[in-house]
Amino acid sequence: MLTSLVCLLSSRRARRTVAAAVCAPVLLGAGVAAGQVAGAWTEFQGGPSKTGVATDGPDPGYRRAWSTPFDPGGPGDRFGLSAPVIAEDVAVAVGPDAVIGVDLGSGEQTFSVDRAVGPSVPAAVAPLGDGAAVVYTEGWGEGPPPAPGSEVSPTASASPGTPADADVEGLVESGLTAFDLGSQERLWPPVPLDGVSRTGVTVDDGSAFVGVNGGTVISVDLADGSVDWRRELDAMLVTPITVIDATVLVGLQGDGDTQPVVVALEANTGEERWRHEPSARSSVVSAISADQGTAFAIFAGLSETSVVALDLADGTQRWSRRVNATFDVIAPPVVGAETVFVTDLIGHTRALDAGTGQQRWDFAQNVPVFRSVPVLVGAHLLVPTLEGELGAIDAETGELVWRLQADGAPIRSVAAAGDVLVAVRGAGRSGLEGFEHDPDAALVREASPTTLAPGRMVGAIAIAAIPLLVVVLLLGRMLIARMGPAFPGDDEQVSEDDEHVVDPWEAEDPTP
Amino acid sequence: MTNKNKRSKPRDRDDGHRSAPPASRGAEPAPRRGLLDSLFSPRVGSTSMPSIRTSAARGLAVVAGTPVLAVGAVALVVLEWLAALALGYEGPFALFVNALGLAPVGTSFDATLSTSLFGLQGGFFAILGFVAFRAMVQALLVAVIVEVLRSAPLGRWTLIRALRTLPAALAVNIAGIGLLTLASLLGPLLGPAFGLLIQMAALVGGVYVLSFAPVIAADEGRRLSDAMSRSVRAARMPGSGNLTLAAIYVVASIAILVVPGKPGSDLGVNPTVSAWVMVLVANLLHVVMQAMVAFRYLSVADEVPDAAPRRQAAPRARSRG
Repeated sequence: MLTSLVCLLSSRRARRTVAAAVCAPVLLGAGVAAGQVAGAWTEFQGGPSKTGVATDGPDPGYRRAWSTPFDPGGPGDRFGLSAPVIAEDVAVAVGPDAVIGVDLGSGEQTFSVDRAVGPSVPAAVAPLGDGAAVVYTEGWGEGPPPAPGSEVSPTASASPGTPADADVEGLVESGLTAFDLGSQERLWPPVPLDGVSRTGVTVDDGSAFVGVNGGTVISVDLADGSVDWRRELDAMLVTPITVIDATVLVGLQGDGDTQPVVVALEANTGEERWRHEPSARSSVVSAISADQGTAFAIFAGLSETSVVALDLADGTQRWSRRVNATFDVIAPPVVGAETVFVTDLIGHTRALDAGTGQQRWDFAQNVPVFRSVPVLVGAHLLVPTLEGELGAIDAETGELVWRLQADGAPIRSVAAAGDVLVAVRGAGRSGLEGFEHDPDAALVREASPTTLAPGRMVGAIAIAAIPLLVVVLLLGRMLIARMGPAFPGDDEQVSEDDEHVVDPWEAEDPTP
Repeated sequence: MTNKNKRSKPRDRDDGHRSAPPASRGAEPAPRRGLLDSLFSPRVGSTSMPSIRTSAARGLAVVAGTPVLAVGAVALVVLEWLAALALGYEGPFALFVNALGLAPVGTSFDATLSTSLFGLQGGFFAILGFVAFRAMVQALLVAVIVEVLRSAPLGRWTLIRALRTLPAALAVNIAGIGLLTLASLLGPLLGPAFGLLIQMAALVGGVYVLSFAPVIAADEGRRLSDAMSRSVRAARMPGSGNLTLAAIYVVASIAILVVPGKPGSDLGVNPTVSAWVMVLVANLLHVVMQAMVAFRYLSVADEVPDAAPRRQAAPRARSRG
């Protein structure tokens, strides 16, 4: 344990991943099993199609099984862990300067591999012989953002937390790299990237796909780290890449002059198959998910926000559903049970028919959901929130069946791993937490606040309005009695016998 | 054509328009006996425009003392809420605190509601329908308020008065949309802080210059353009305190919208009792404000300066030289 701690400390001081090679054998001896990745939650939102669905997982309610703290790092010590991925009995998460592994049974940290400081974006687990490889990006391109209050240039430092100690070069070279899950040894030299990557890694059919902020998409052969192809798309690319049916789906953000687009590339060659531009003026597109020949994404702009379904074959729009809400672009729609689930920033989840886009149900949790990505585990949609609430919604009925009470610390992402849910926490509970089914948890059947309850509403109106009107009218009687008419002169009424009373409405030309 | 119906009317001026007696006419200052007497005693001063306090008391008396107004205001809010639900609105209910607001505060509510329901593009057209409905409601409320202030009975004539008020109410609300649009275009150009200031200024300015127009149309039957220009002149009467009143009204209307944690601020279609109480009270206060505006105008109607005479165009022959 002490050796592990020393390794961990040394790795935090290191600027590159040298320490990992030294520490790896020790950590390996601590009990990391080689990963078997089939059917596991091997990358962000489960797999390359990013549907966010785990057919197997614990039912609600849940209780905390373990908690593994992780101190935030990076500039200003404000960057935590990425969404976790699962390799059999290990949860792997990427921190700003290390990739860590945590045992799913005990929550103990089993390894930590240094990485060049960079955004905490998800790794991916790929099969490697009998074991598994962890593939991840590192580096911050021209440099990390300055810490709040810092006056240093954003192109400053490779040292997390101390931009002032900047390497004069200022560059933290970005790259794609991989290590063996069992030994934590590098598999091949880092593949250089031409800028910072925030897409995370998507693995499919022996290749890793990664995007660079500037719009470059790269396919890397996992066997030797060679670049299969590189495609320049010349637009901002910050959302995870989706791969399905030998098609790479990329969401490119728009700017003042251009629309956001979904671009489909041939997975083997990088050739463009099609691109889809929204009909309404938009500025951003969410991460994409895909299932059964259809890709799903959310286009948002000043004028409107829509969930769209695109034909994977040619990119034509199958349906579009307007949803007046704001969404987090890193969260792709969850797709499962012939339903598309989208959750907006105020925790309003809508379930849409995957075939038609018609709304099946909605549930308003009324808590912020930002950088927290819902997942479908079994028959329940789990919605983590910024305030630490975790809601479990019945995917069929749209009723809330259980909720973890908010504790103020965000739940970022959830990964399903057999009988355990692994959640990334932020703020005061920064780190990983494991949840397991709690047989004693009280389940509820709570309808959405957006479901009309006529009796309740009429009752509320009556209880509010009747006493209010009684008070107001009594007050009015008192005031009228005290104050009298507003213009007493008007009481001197004119009888109809008076001559020539002119109707003011019919005066032909009223004097101004 | 002479008025042959049985309805009693106040004395008219020579030009056919009803005279607007000063607020203090016929009301002898009563000896002060307590808080209420102090509050309700006539204002002594150089202008006939009642003080804000006196106007508030009169406005409250008009609304609370007229069951049609008080019950009608509550019923209108409930109906608007049900209509919004029917159109697919899912909250927050707290937005309805300004449902009966004066333009452009109420117009701002219409804009928010229509974009919530139909998005920005669809909402742009939907807002016209919302504004038309608001104009009808406002015309009816103003007509009732003027009748009550004139101590006239409510009846068929009130509806006719409301119909004749409708163009002015519609114009005021459309002008409200224009002001809000202009502010939203100018705001971003001047930065976030100034942008907010511009938005506030647009709301205050709108209430300040537009609010008298429907009252003028209702009471004096003037043409639309005349009612609008007269509204501006009435607002600008020196020492009237109209700008202060408009600022207080707008700040209060916005403050209640942005108070964090207030009831009804979440998504939901079954508002709680406390949310209903808040929304209903707020909307009754909007009608009180409408009554205040009407009372203030009627109090000074005779003193509002006439429009400057139009300059005659120079003879063409002369301009041609």
